[in-house]
Amino acid sequence: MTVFHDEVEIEDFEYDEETETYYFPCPCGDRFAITKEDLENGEEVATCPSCSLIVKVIYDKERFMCGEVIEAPKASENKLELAQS
Amino acid sequence: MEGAQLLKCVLYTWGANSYGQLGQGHREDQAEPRRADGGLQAEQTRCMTGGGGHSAVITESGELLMCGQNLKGQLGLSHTSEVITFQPCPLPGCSRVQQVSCGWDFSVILTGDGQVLVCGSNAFGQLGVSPGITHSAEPLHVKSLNEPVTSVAAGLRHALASTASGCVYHWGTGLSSHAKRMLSPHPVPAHLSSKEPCLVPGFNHVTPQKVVAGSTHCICLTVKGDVFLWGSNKHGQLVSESLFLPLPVALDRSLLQAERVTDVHSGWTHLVAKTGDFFSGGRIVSWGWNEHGMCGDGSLCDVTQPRPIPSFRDATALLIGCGSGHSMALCSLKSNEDSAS
Repeated sequence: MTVFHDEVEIEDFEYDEETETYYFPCPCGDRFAITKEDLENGEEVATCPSCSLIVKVIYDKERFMCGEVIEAPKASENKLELAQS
Repeated sequence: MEGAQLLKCVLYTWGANSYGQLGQGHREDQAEPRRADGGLQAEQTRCMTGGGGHSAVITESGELLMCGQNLKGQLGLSHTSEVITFQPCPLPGCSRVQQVSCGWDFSVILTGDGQVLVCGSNAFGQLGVSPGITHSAEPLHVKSLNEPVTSVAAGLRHALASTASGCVYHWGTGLSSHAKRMLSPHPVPAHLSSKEPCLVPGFNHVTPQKVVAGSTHCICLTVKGDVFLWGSNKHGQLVSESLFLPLPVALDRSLLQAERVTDVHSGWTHLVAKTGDFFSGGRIVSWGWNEHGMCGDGSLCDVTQPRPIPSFRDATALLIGCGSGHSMALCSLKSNEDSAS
């Protein structure tokens, strides 16, 4: 039985258009990640690449599986700024 | 003088270090305190603190130094490259920095004349400036705080400020979603979902000394040494039965041997506090989450209520600080004894 560190709503995740992945800060300093594809397949576990913590993602599965993208703050503007600097 | 002992000041950091936030010149996690001398003179340190992946130090002359992650410009250095030893942060027009607090990926700077500057991410209104600004690598002024501010604090995606008139303000929507779920069907109080500074009720009869923020919780230390806590209590960081406290509630002083708290800092969900008074010196206690060794007791097991840190048993605490998953202490040691090397 998995033990979730936390339950986080999809609105609180930041979306990266380039990697098509949703991110939420992890207490260890890295980020929990779950891809758009995972969400479309009904997955609800976001994992952290640096530690063993996992969080449950709270979202409307029906809306995701229709291909509708949930509005979340985008994390990708800074990449454009980096490219221009 | 007979019996006089030379005091040596040493800056220690420990905990998570993936972005060089320990300022030790490398990126390895540390489960016990290690020296962080590179880039600064420890004797000149006046205060230190850390955020999600960055750290900040202020010197006696009011200079601000930063290191660690810088992807959203949270180091305020006008660039977005990572830094692994402490670097000075130039602030044009500001002669002295009084205080700094680091959030997940933003920083809140309090100048000598009580003004607030912010830099880093504004994706959740945590900078308290125009929502049109997504992030800033240059510090911006929070104009709506129009009376002198006495202390500032930055959480995951929220910030706090206490003012000269005894008010506490809260901005950034970091607690908003969780508050909505926990308090439903009751409405979420305004101060938990505002992108500009909003007054926090409940401080009419106490005098705030400083504000402190955890990932999604808030702390106010009063001049009488009491600790008020509000926000998320998912991991017991508020030492309360409730899962969410929308309004400030006082911490039971019997849990700290009835001593008054003289300083408190918070990481994600761990807290480090200095207790005692002027005569008994400073004891350092910590509690909360400990998976990366941030409670400093040499183990990786959670500490469930305030406990003294063993390494500092024979040391006198001068300053303490916390980042998301790391902690710092400036201690006074005897000259031929370096008990925490």
